[in-house]
Amino acid sequence: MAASMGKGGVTSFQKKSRTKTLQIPGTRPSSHGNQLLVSTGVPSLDHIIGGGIVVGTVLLVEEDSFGNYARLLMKYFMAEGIMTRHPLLLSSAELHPKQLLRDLPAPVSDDIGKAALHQENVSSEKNVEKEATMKIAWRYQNLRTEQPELGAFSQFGHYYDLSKTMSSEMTDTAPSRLFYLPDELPLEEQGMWNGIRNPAYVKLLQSIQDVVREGQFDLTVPQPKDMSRTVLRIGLHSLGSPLWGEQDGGTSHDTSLPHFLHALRGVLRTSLAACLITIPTHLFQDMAFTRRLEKLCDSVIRLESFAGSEKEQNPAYKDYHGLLYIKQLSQANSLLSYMPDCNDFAFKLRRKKFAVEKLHLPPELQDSQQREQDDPVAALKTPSTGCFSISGKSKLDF
Amino acid sequence: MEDSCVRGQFVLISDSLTDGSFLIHHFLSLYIKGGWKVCLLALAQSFGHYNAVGQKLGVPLTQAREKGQLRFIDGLKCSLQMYTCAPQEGQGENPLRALRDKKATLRPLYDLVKTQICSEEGVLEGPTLLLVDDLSVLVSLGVSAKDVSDFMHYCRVLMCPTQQGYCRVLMCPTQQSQGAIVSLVHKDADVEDEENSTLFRHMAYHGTVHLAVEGLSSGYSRDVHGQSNLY
Repeated sequence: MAASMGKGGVTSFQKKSRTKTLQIPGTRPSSHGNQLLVSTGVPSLDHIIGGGIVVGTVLLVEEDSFGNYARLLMKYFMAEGIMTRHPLLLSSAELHPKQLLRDLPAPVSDDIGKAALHQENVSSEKNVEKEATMKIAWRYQNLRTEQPELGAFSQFGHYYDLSKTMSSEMTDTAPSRLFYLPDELPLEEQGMWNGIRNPAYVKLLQSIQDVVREGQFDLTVPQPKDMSRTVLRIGLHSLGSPLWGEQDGGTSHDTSLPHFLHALRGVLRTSLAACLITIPTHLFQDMAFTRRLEKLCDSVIRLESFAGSEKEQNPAYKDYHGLLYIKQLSQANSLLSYMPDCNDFAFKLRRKKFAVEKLHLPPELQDSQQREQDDPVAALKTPSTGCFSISGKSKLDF
Repeated sequence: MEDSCVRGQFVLISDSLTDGSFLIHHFLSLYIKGGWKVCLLALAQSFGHYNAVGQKLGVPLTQAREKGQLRFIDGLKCSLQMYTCAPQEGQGENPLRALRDKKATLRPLYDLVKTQICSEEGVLEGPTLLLVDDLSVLVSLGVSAKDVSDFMHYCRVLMCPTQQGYCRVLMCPTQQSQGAIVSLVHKDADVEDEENSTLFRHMAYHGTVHLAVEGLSSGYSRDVHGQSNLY
């Protein structure tokens, strides 16, 4: 349903009909298939997952051990939503969503400048500046100097500065619905539940459905043609953590979260919404459970941070803060998912920005490598060159 | 085209660490073009998805659905309804009652499939294909492997009655099986998922053809997506 409304047109047999593209600011059609994409807020991440999150699908982020980077991705996603004026729905069980929203990265200043310019009246601006008559390009004299449609909010993907926070007036005026679990569901109901459905997840799904219905994001309900549509951004932070009532660390027999994800897919496929979910899968004991959750989401990436692990000292990783694995990419409305040309990515968090890059091994590591038996390069299973000189050296040393 | 749609086959597609659902699209377009009646039990994706891919492959699914050649059972919608309705109301007609009620089986789902493809006498009219996408979703949602296996057994008896080799002598020779089944099961090699493995073994036993789709043994490559074996 989402595809038939959002894609570039009907089949090639009907060339004369009007194209049914939805022009929604802040989105763009995918080059891979006829789908609408929204940005995650991190342009390098958008690039590796095929352009962005497909509208109507779920991007699952498997959290790193401390949850910092996943929380950062959620903040970027929400900040991008505010910049593009997409309504937000943010849920969280531990941190109050308001606190998350208060700490969003600020957009880089020239974007704010553009946004401010858009809000001014274009005609008053024209009156202020002197119109020198053009001598050469006199044909263009009467055209407007400013195109009012192109404001910062219709741009796809913005750049943010992590050292500053977004102004509270921007976050307060953004349309958002916050779901904080202790407020929505009293503690008695959360604790022990028998039966198949976790009431916390049911409550969350019902509020998602309510927002979709009230905000007119539902594609099955016909809307008047001239109504401007927008995309709902749903962020579910740290779903499946023990605070949501996951018992036994998620063994295969617990079907509450898989059923929630399946039902969520049913809602999203017929709505103009994109969803980012972070789940602390490192807490689950059973890998099969994690695999089932992955199959029920459309795109999956996993973050692994180096903090506190032995990889932190590894010289091959010295520029980076963690690794990013793409486990699955969205196949919705197409025969195949987007195929990246490599699967080794690492991320780094600088003072001002978070970026994802391809992991390149340096051609040769330094001689300061003390312990040959922990050969880091041989341990990395990447197809890059450069391993052979190091392993040759260690053989000779023995 | 007609020759490649074989009757009486139970085809099992399994995928390991990759996605075998492209074969579902392939079989769907093959049988629709071949003029068969198709019942698509869609548990993993919405109708829009199959339609979008079908348009690229040159198979107009919306028209097939309107004409009645394609019967679509929307599993996502039934599952959503089961999830959000209150315990007392709304469970009556939903074919996926087993998701809420531990004592129920997939019998209502089988009844729905039967009403969709059979005539009033309960017999298949013309060549019919049952396409199930996919069975592992049922397991993930909490249905036991045994219940899914029973459901598929009933479907197989409905669609391909002369399949059991040892019974062929006893069956009336004029009864030519009209139907075929294609279903998909996920079988990831790196993860130990007992229910899924049990389900896979049962399906492999029932099936006549097994298409295994997996990634290349040498690792990830952009241009060649994987390999598939036929058993």
